[in-house]
Amino acid sequence: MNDQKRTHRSSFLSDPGSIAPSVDKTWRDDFILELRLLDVPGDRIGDHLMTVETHVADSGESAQEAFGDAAAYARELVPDATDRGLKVSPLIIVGNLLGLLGIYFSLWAFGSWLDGGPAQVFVGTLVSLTVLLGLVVLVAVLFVPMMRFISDRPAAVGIVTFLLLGALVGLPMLFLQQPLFDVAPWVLGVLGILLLVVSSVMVHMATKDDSDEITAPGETPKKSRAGLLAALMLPLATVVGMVLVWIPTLFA
Amino acid sequence: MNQEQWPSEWLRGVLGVCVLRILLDGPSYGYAITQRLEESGLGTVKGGTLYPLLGRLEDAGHVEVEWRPGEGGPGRKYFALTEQGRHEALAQSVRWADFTTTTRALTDAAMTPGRN
Repeated sequence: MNDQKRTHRSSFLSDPGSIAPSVDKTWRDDFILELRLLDVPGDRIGDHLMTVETHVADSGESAQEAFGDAAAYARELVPDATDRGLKVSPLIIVGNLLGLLGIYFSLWAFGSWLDGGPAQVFVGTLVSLTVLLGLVVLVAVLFVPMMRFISDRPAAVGIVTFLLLGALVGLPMLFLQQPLFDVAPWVLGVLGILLLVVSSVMVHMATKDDSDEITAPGETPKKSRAGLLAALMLPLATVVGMVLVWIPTLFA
Repeated sequence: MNQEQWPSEWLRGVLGVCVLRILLDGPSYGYAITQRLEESGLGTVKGGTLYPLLGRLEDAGHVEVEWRPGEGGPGRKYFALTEQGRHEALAQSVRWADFTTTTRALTDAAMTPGRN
């Protein structure tokens, strides 16, 4: 074993499969995804990936030729593959639910403030909110099978998801406009910010010690900032949303 | 017989004992093992078949692994028999010899001239 501990440069945006440059990127991405979904630790994924890398480099064959389908090969490597699956932490599920609510209320507050009036709550608003939260819970519960389904047909799933979300969330807002009550924008804004803060804290707590980075044998990962970035994701999305809500008003 | 014509179900049955036998000669890495199998007349064994087998041998305690350094990278993954693995390799070789003797006692008669 190489006594010099090489350090793998850790970056939220880096390609985890870059430790195996001889392996076709599509194959290694599918391989890594399947091993992640089987809840294999990052260092074991690195070991398996480097084994493929060295065999491909020695033999001159492609990974597909030498190992066949990436997901099928990954399952061959994991004992009891059918009984294993990635478990999403409840802290992450609840944290993201609260974060989505935070975005929803924050953008609603901002839009109402720009309009200069109170935020009007309609029947459709509550229905859309309930549908949105229900979908998030569904995704969390069915995370592993959904990820496998999406990985095989990402473009089609993306289009269908966009249309489905638009229909399920947008149509109630469009047709169920019976007014219920008004809310001052600042109330929604404070609620939104509070929810985003709580969400960020929960996600950070769930991810800060769990980088589980993919490392080649003998490599020591640098402390990852992935947990911090995951915690800031929804607040950043809120700011982007606010900009998107604000821009059309410049031309009104 | 042309090595490319061995039925895959036969190869699946014999691969374990052959890999153990190869490792009796000393630690080796995956691609070298496939080359040795091919030179021995068993045909091409793909990485997708070999490495899961080596993984099962490791889980059973017959094989231990070591990454040996290469140039600027983690190098190659070498597989070596444990003491338990050496006993298993010898035991399987003996049993395989018995098995082939048993099967040939039955099947050799099919080659008797004039039988068919």
